[in-house]
Amino acid sequence: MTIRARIAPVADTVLPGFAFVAMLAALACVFLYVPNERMQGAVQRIFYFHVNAAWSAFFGFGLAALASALFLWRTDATYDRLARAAVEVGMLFCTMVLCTGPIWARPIWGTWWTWDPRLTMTVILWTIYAVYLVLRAMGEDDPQIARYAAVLAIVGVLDVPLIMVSVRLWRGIHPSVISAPAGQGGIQDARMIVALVVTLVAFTSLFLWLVWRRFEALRLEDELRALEDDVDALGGRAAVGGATP
Amino acid sequence: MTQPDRFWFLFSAYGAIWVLLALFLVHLGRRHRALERALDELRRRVGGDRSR
Repeated sequence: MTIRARIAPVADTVLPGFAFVAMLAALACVFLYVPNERMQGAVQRIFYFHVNAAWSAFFGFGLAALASALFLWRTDATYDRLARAAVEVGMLFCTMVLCTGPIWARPIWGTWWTWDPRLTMTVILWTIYAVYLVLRAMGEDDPQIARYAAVLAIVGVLDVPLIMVSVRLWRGIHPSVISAPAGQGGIQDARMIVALVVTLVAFTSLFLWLVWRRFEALRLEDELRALEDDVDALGGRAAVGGATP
Repeated sequence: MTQPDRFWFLFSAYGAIWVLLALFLVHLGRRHRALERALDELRRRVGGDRSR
């Protein structure tokens, strides 16, 4: 039994249901359970989805880098498909981060956007993987393009640790909530931690389900293309055979 | 900034998330339908080849 055959029943049946329920629980936590933050008020509730969208994006790009490294090493198309699926879903979550961030920043900072190191590097990360997707769309079946894209996915992920340390390294204005030392900001209320963990579970399960769906679609596209080539070859042979007296 | 104004930002942010997710799911659905069409076309061709 292959790994895919073992994963498929869980990923096709359990995972979407679990992600749906977890997302409902996350929304209930964010809108009904957590208290309002003292300084920011209701708008702080954006934080729970914003942070977990960032986590999912980083997870996606990390997974894509790992799968790309395995693809370059083993030259197995399965890893290439996994990398492509992870980048596509990672880009979705990275776009969510770049949309929700400015909406939070407007009432809190008084501006939609500032070229803070963390914000700038997140835009760079988004651009790197947008280039990856453009390369894949242009290259389709070209193995050389697939290898270039794999290298880009590996290089691009180096931006993720930089984003994480950028707040402390370059003293930007982006708050450092998760990694803040004790007594210097961060989450104070236990209910906020519960909401953050529930949202983390919801986003991770949604991410895994979306990657699985995309991975399966890419696998089927490749199989279909191979079958079409086989049918074309058979058709050609039949035509040649039919023409022979 | 008043609390109702901040609620507007809160719901805009969550709205943006659901719109992006919906667009992605629509994109996945379209790719899936294209795949089904290609599969039907292949079936038709194979069926045609067999009848020949």
